[in-house]
Amino acid sequence: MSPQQNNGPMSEKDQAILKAYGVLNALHAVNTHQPEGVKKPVLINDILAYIQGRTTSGTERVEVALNNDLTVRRQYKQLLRVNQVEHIAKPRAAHSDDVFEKRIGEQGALLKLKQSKGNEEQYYLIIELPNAISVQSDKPLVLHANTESQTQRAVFPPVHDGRSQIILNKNDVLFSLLQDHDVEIDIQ
Amino acid sequence: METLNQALSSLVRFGVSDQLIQDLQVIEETSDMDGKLLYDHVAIYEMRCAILCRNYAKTLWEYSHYIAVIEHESDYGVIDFFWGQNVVTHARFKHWLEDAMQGSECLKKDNSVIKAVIGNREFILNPKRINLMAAWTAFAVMVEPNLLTQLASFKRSLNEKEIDTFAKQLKSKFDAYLEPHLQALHQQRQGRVLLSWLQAQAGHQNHKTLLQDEAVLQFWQQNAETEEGDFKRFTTVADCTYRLHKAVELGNDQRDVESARSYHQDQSGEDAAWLLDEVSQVEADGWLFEHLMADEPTQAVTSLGQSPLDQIKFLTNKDAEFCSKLELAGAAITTLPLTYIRAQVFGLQQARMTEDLRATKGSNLAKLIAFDDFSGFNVWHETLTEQVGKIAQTRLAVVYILLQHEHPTAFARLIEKLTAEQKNALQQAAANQPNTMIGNQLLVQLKSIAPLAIKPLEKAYSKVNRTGFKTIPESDQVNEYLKGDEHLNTLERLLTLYSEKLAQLVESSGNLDGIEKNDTHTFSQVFKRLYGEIGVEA
Repeated sequence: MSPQQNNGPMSEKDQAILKAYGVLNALHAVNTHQPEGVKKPVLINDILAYIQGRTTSGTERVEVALNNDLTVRRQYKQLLRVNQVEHIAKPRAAHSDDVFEKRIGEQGALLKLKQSKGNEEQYYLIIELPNAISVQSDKPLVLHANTESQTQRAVFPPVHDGRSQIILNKNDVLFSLLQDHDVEIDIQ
Repeated sequence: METLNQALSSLVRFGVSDQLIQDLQVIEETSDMDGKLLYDHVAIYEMRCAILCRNYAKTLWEYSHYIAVIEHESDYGVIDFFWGQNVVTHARFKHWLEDAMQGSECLKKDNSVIKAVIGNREFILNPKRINLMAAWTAFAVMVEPNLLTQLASFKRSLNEKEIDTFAKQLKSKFDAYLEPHLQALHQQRQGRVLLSWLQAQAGHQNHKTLLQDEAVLQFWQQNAETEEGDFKRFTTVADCTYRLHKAVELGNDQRDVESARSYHQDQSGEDAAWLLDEVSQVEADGWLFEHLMADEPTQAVTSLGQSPLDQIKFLTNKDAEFCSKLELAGAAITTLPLTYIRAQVFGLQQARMTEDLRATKGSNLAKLIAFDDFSGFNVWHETLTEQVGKIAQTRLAVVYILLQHEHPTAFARLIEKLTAEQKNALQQAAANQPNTMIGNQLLVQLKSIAPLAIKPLEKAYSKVNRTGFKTIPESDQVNEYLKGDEHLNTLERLLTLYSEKLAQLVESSGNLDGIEKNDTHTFSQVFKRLYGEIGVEA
C-alpha cells in the first residue's frame, strides 16, 4: 500500500484496495469526523513525558487517569523503573504528626525537608546524590511521590555539586503527601 | 439511531467507531517537546489503512522484529527509545544502529544494509520504517496495555520463535480490540450466524432458495434473544439478509466465471460447501465474505445528494430517506418482499419501543407491544404508491424544463407517449417540411397535435415547485437535470418493481391484512420476550 502525502489525492491503486476492503468511508471519517463526547486516550508517550517532568497536551489527561485508570497507573509504575535515578521505599514507620527530615534511597540518595528560616510556611525539599549516582549535568530531576491513591510530581533543577532543591509550601499537596507513612518516592 | 447511541451511530454511518476515530486522531496529533508532529503522514496513513482494512498481520510480524531488536539492544528499552527524546527519524535510527552494531552480536552490516541475525533468520532493518514502528507502538500499547511487560523477554534474549509468537499474539489482541470498533467484521459475523442457521434448517438445499421471507422471520424469532450476532432488532436481521443476498448474487456471478475455468468445481457436488464452518470459511469462502464487506455500488439517492446535483431538489429529504432504504436493500426486495415491509413496519414499531425504553423507561411499552397505535402494511403500501407517483411527477417536471430548452430527450419522451394516430400525424407534418424538423418547429407541431401531452408536464413543473424547479434554469444546467433524471429513473424502476411484487403477493394470498394479522401476533410475542420486563436494555 503506497503512502498518501498530506491531503494529497489518493492514488487509484490505493483507492481500489480501500474500496475492496469497504473502508473508504471509514478512512474519510478518521480524517475528517470530529467525535463528540468520547474520551481522549492517554498515550504511552504522554505517560513517559509526565514521568520525565515535561508538560504536554496530554498531561492533564495523565493526571486524571493516574487516579482512576488502573492500566495507566500500571504503565506509569512500569515506566518509572526505566531511567530511574533513585527509589525511596515506603518509610514503614508508624504514623506521626512530625514533619520528616530525611529519607534515604536504595542507592544512598538523600531527600531532605528543611524549614525556611525566613518563612515558616515554606520548606526546602532537597535531593542530595552520592558520587555513585551519576546524572547528566543538564538533566532536571523529577521526583514522583506515590501512595495507593495519590500521585504528585515535582521538577527539580539540574544537580549542582550533587545537590538540587525546590521550595515547597506547607499547603502544597506534595508536602502533605511526602508526610504520608505510605508514600513511595522515585527520582528520575 | 443517533438518539440512541452516538458511538454506535458512527459505527453504522462510517463503519468505524467514534472511539477508534478519536484514538487514531490523537496519535496523529502527538507532538514532541518542540511541538513538531511525532509521526509523519506516510506512517499515519499506512497505519490507518492497515487498521481499517484489518490487514496488519504482516506489518505486526515486521513490527515485532523491530521492537525486539530495539528492546534487546537499547539501554532503556522501546518506550524510552521512541519517546525519551525528540521525533524518531530514520537518520536517528540509522545513527543508533551504527552505534549499537559495535558491541552487538546480532546486528550485522552487509553491503550498507544492517541486518538483525536472529537464530537462522536474517532480518533487514530499514531505517525508513522506524517512524511507522513508533506510531504502531503507540497504538499497540492501547490494544495491549501489558505490552511493556511482554517486551521484557526480548531484553534477555532474541529468538525467532519468540518473535513469531509475539507477533501472532499481538495480532489476536488487535483482532479482539478492533472487533467492536469496526463494522465489517461484525457484519461478517452476523452473516456467518445467519448462514449456519439457514444451513441447519435446510440441509444441503441450494443456498439461494434458503433465503425466504418465512425463514428470515423464523431466524429472528429464534435468535432475537441470543447474544451472538446481536439480532435483537428485526431491521438488523433484514439488513443482514440483504447483504447476504447481495453477496450470494455477486458470488454466483464470480462462480460462473470460475466454473467456466474449472468444470470440476461444478461436478464435485460441493455446491453447498460455501456454507462452511468458521475454521474453513476464510479460505473456502473468501469470495462470499469479501462481498459481505464490499462497499455498496454508487446509489442513486447518494448521487442525487452530491454536488452538483444537490443544488436541485430532485427529492425531498423524506423521499430520499424512503428511497435510500429501498435502494440499500437492492435486488433482495424481490426475493424477500415481506421481509422488507416487515422491517419497515414492525421495525419502526420496535424502534419506537427502544426509544420509549430510553426516554421514558418504557412507560408506553405495553401500548406499543399491543400495537394500539400502529400503522400497518396497507398504510405503508399506500406510501409506496404515493412515492412512485411523486417520482414520476418530478420526472415530468424535468421533461418540462428540458422541453423549454428544446432538448431532444424531452421530445423523445413526449413522442414515446403519443398515440399511434398522433405519431402518424407528426410524421405527416415532418414529411411536409423541406428540412428535418427540429427544435421550435417540432415543439409547435407537438403542441398542435397533442396539446394534452404537454399540459401534464407544465402541471407537474408547477406542482413540484422545489429548489431547481421554481424557474427555468440556464442552458448550461441542462445536463444536471438529465443526470438527475437518470437517477430518478433508477429509483422509479426499483419502486415500481417492489410495488408490483407486493401486488403479486396480495393476489396470491388474498390481501395483506391476513399476513399482517399473523405477523402482528408473531412480532408481539417476540417483543414481549424482549421488552416485556420494563427496563430491559434496548
